[in-house]
Amino acid sequence: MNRLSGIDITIVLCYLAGIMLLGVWLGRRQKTEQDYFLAGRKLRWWMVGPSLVVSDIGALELMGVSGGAYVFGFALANLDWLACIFPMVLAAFLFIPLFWRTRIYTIPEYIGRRYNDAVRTLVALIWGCFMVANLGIFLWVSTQALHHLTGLSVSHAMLITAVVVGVYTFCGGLRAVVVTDTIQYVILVIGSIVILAIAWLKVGGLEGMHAAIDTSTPERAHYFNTILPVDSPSGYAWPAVLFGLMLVLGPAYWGGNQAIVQRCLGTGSERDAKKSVLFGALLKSIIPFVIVLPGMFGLALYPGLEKGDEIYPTMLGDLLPVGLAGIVFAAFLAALMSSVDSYLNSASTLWTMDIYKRYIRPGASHEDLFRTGKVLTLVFIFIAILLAPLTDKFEGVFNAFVTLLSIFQGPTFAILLLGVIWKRANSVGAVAGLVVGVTVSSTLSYLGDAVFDAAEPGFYVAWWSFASSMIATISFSLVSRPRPYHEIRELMFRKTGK
Amino acid sequence: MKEALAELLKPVAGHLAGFFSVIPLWGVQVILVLMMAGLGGWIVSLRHEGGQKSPRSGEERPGQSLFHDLRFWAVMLLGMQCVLILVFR
Repeated sequence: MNRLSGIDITIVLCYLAGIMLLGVWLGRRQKTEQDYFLAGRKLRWWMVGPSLVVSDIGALELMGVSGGAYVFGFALANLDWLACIFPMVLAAFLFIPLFWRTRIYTIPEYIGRRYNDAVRTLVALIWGCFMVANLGIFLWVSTQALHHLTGLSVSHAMLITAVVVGVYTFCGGLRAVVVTDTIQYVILVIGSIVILAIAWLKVGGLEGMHAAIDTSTPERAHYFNTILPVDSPSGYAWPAVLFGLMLVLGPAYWGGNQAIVQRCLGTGSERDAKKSVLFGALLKSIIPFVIVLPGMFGLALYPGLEKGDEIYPTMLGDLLPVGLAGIVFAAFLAALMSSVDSYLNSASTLWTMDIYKRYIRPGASHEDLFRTGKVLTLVFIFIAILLAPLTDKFEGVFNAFVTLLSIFQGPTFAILLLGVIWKRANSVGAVAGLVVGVTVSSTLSYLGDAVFDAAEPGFYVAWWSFASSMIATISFSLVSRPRPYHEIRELMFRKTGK
Repeated sequence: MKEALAELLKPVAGHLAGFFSVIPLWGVQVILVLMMAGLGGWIVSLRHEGGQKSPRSGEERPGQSLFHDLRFWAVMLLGMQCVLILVFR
């Protein structure tokens, strides 16, 4: 793999400095927690749409999905199609308008109002720990990319990444995160198209790729298909994708993930919030062509890579000419950072609004919450630095993320969904649902391939934890006293609207 | 402990895998398209989404054209997803 030239590294450093300065500039007039956590509720849908996508792309897509496509093939497109379009359309009409109308800051805040404070705290702690752990994963991915392509030591690469993300997120809050994300999306897509085009020409188009990739082995028998049979060893067999990804992890992510929902809450109107998610779904639909396909072309070009996750940085370093490589790498790095900035900002929001304001200083002023959010942003980036090296213990970055997602997302999504659509759901049921769901997901994750034939059973774990959590929540809610409907009416989806 | 649990659950996983493997891949495509259609139908059944604020009352009123209705764009997205499912199987 070629390293970046001096010109490219200069471009990268200028770009990162520019992003940092932009964050500082965008944060200059912020004074309250609403400015910091929700961008003063002044974001526009065309900014939030790309921001939603690039935050999701971040570490997941560039390294994990292109790496997954390198190994498993086009089935990885389902991560952008079945896992996004259906759930995003659902979220745009079921969850997002409701959350926007209730004027919440965090998902646990909604859970607390819908159930009670105990459930809110439980969910806040689950989400708070989950987001901080993810920060470590995302930081590690960014660090590895910088390390591989520039030759910097791991510790220096991590320091640079943490400083850049920390500064613009610390100074600019959600507004800086969304604005920088939008810029990054445009550059990243253009850069990925250039990589795809060069790889296409080198390999000889789709025909050349078909000829170069040996599909006679059982592992690659369905390399060019999106719907894989049940016995596929990849973990992307159709029942896993349909039940785990499309029906649980996708909706849980787009309708119940704090980092995603928070951007929509920052829009100026309910209609803008909906439009931002639909626009994001449209932008998502093109991502497989610029992320998954390059990973597959990568197999034709570099068949012997030890880790699939290395394919995108390898192609970036090898295929692009001097100058362009610097620009695309800067966007690539910044997109990786967008996952870090999103989770950093959301973790800070969550701990400030659901823990600090609720338990430590209930009467905190707007300025106090604003300052606390900023301090927590710094604290979490330090924690992420400590956690990041642990990610190396997992086989692939995406698998690490799926493992974490599958443990918590299923159960928390089950109680969120029932809270939105079923008036009989109550706090007793919610606690039972969480306990049962997390127990099931932890147990199944521990058992892993001893039960499931798939090497990475994260999607199956997500489904079963969701299903068990739903059953527990419904059962315990039915045998305990419901909350009066007039208390929760405004917190539930109603088909007739307002 | 791990072996005991795995022994208990492995046959269940095997039965489910056996059940799903009977469904042909074209049948999976049909299931996915039907799910998209179901979501589209539910969205169409919701109230008009083309609301623009009335300058007088501030209340939302129906939009002038189909393109202002967010339900239309949602159905288009789901339709596009169906095409992707059918083309890239």
